[in-house]
Amino acid sequence: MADIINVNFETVTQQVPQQAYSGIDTWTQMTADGLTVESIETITQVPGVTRTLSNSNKVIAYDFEKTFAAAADAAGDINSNVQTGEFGAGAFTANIPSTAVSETPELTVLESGAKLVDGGSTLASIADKVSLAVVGVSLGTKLGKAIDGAIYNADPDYWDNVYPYINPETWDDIATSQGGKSVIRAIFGLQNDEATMYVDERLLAYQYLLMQQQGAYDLKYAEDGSTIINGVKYGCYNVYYGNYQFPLSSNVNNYAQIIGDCFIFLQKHQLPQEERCNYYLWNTKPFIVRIYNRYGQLQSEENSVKHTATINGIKYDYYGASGGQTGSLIPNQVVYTQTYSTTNPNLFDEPNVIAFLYNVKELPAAPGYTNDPRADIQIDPAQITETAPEPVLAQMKQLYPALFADAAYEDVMQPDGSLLRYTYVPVPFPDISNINQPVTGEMSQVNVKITPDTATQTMLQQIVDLLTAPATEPPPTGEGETPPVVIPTGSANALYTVYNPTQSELNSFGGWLWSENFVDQLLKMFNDPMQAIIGLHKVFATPEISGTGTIKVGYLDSKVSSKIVGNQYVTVDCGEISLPEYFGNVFDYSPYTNIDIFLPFIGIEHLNTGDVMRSKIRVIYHVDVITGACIAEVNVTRDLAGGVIYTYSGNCAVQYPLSSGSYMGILSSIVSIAGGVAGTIASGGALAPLAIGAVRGVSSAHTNVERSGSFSGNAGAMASKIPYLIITRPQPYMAQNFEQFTGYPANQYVKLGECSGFVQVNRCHLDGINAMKEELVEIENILKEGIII
Amino acid sequence: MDIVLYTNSSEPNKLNKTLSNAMNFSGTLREETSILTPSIMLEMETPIEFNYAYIPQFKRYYYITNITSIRNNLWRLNMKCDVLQSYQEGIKNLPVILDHTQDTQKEMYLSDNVWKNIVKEKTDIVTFPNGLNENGEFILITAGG
Repeated sequence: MADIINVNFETVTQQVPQQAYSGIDTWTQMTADGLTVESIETITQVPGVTRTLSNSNKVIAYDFEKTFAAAADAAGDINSNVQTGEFGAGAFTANIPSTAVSETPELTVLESGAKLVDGGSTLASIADKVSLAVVGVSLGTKLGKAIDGAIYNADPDYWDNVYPYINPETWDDIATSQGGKSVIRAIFGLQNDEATMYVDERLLAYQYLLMQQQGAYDLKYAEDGSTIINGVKYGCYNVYYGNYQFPLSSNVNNYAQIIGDCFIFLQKHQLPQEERCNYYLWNTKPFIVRIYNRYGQLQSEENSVKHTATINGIKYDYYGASGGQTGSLIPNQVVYTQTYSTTNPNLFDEPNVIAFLYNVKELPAAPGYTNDPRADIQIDPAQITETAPEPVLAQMKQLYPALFADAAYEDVMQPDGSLLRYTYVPVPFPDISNINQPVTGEMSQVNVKITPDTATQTMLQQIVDLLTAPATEPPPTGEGETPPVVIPTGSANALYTVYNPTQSELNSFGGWLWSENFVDQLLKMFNDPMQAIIGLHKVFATPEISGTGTIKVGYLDSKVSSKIVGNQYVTVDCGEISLPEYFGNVFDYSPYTNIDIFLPFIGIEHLNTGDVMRSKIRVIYHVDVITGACIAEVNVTRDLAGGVIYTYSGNCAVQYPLSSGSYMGILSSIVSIAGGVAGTIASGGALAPLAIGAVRGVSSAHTNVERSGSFSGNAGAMASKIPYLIITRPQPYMAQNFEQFTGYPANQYVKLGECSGFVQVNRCHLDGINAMKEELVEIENILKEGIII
Repeated sequence: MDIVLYTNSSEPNKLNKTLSNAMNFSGTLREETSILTPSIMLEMETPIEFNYAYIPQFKRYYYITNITSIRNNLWRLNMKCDVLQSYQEGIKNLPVILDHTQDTQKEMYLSDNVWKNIVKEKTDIVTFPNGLNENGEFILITAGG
């Protein structure tokens, strides 16, 4: 058993040279420089040193293992490893936390210290838990959209419910989970500038895809506005997809009255083959309609037609004209339609002259998104032809390089020792007056940061609060690992052979066994080949194959080819899933949340919620292909610790009868399992809680119901072969603002003056209050009932 | 002796009360009275709008618990000491162990009766990426070979 020593890096660099590496100059330099990429490389170049890396939350832990030649213990001290001098025989493991930050510009910094793309290193602050809402609004503004509160009308958690589903396969590379929600890592403080936020450049592609999916680039509605042409201001009138009534009806308010008694409205039609904009004009006097295009060129001219209408018993004469313009309407297209009185051909001089400007200024279909007028860059969806984040990002870099100006990068060490570069782009900081529903703020695409001397203190304070406020306390880390699983080796393959035939090969073998060839039958009768067939079953794991051959029974060769199993044991890795907290509070744990796991050929087993929450769970099966025995390991990894904390056994082989005896043997084993269970239920014996469908612990507040019995072998083959978790969560029902009436649980030692709001005291010493005893008793009672500070 | 009458709009368990409509009175304490539950007679038109008082000489704040009309413009005010307001500075300096809190030092993972949920539950299934062999593999074991 090797001595295991946890030493820090300095200890390693001081002590190791005294052992076998004295005289290596680089050790001295490493001690001076601290933990750097170069020092790590140097250590691993020393013969016999192996390096293992683990990466947790970008804090790299390095393990160096070296077996030293046996040497005498110093001063007879058995454990001289911790003393200066020679090391004892054996190996040691040095756990070196890599939290050092290098200030040398050429070296990569870890965890903090991003570098600007255009050169120079600069330290930075990392905010690991910026909400998707803040990031979404920032990126939307970066891409030229102004985002307002309308996006939250239908869904207050708009960003949380949309962003992770843009590309779920790659989302884990971008975001981490915090309290059941995705959070983003952002950098602040580059070059001491805390008012500029940098986020992963890949999010630009996600943001574009999000806005495209949400309809931010679709055009649907129109709005009105005024335009000045040749010094003359024209009014533009609302265009709606609706029907307007004639002006001389009771509902005259739907019209835009231009001048005097003239009414006008425009109506857009979407016909199967064309888009058409119709105009309807009315006046009490006759007029001529002239249609001009956006370039001021006369296109058509027509006279108005006289109409008569009677309203409320009064007869009205009016003149009307209608017409339209076909063809696709181009956004912001200006169409002139001018009318003038027949009594005066001068345009725009007479009261009867009507001039209106048809201006289709279209708005995005998605509420909450508009084009930011401050933006220099607007993405043209027609130019982005890709649909996945990475290719979209590549296209954006090519088409809109300005979006990636002033980027910063951070090189992060990976577990395999390589460096992975993360690139961050500056994004405008949103208005976080409502931190849960931010909107586009003062900063814009071209001005991503506020000017500190012009910003309000509230904005700056909000940024500081965002940087400094911890989301939640990091969970306490654990330590240690379970010992590795060692699969036994060796077999008696001289005495038997294990084949892995296909269905057709098996059929051929059966045909050989029961062939009508007389000679074959004689050989078989004398040799009784059936006695040489030990077993036939189906196992639900792919065995390791050592080669191919023909199936031999004793010394009889069937000439039927088959794969030959080389290893009795096989391991099946069912993969890993993450189990983050959903609520981010007590509801994620027992007795509120329960977790069961279905394991093929084993059944549904209960897991302790506290063991597996906030962790990665991996299921590994070890299968004995000869007997079908299997063991399922549930490996749980959380923070820096992990290991197999649950193991269950079963049998994943389906036996096939080869003779009447073997068939009865199969049946009896199945019946005995079922009979044993039935008998246990009837007798209510000690095994009753394990019976199928039994209810255990009925007196407990939360009944733990068995979801299945054990089923192995033949029964298990009829069930799913893929493990899954069954997570039962509660539905919290906390009253709104309950914290003002009952407060959250606390159990903290604190000075009352540091608290605010409702506070209920558990224990206190009433020292320092000059009051009568009766008053002191009353004070203590009131504090324990709760006060409001 | 001075007495200041107030209108208090805060709830009884608030540490720092919101007091308004202050009115000062001066006079002489003519009869015995308790410091903790004083009973004071005041000559004034009507004290109906007041529900709170401060007596500097006693260095205490009081709730007005009852008002009795003695005769025209003469009232008896019965009061009870408000220990929170009277000793609020000392109370703020008290080190305590909190049981429940609205905001400061709250612990979201501490089991407590305050957490409420309805009886309905929500079940999610999370499948592992891989599993055992779906179709199985034949294993034939023969002697010798």
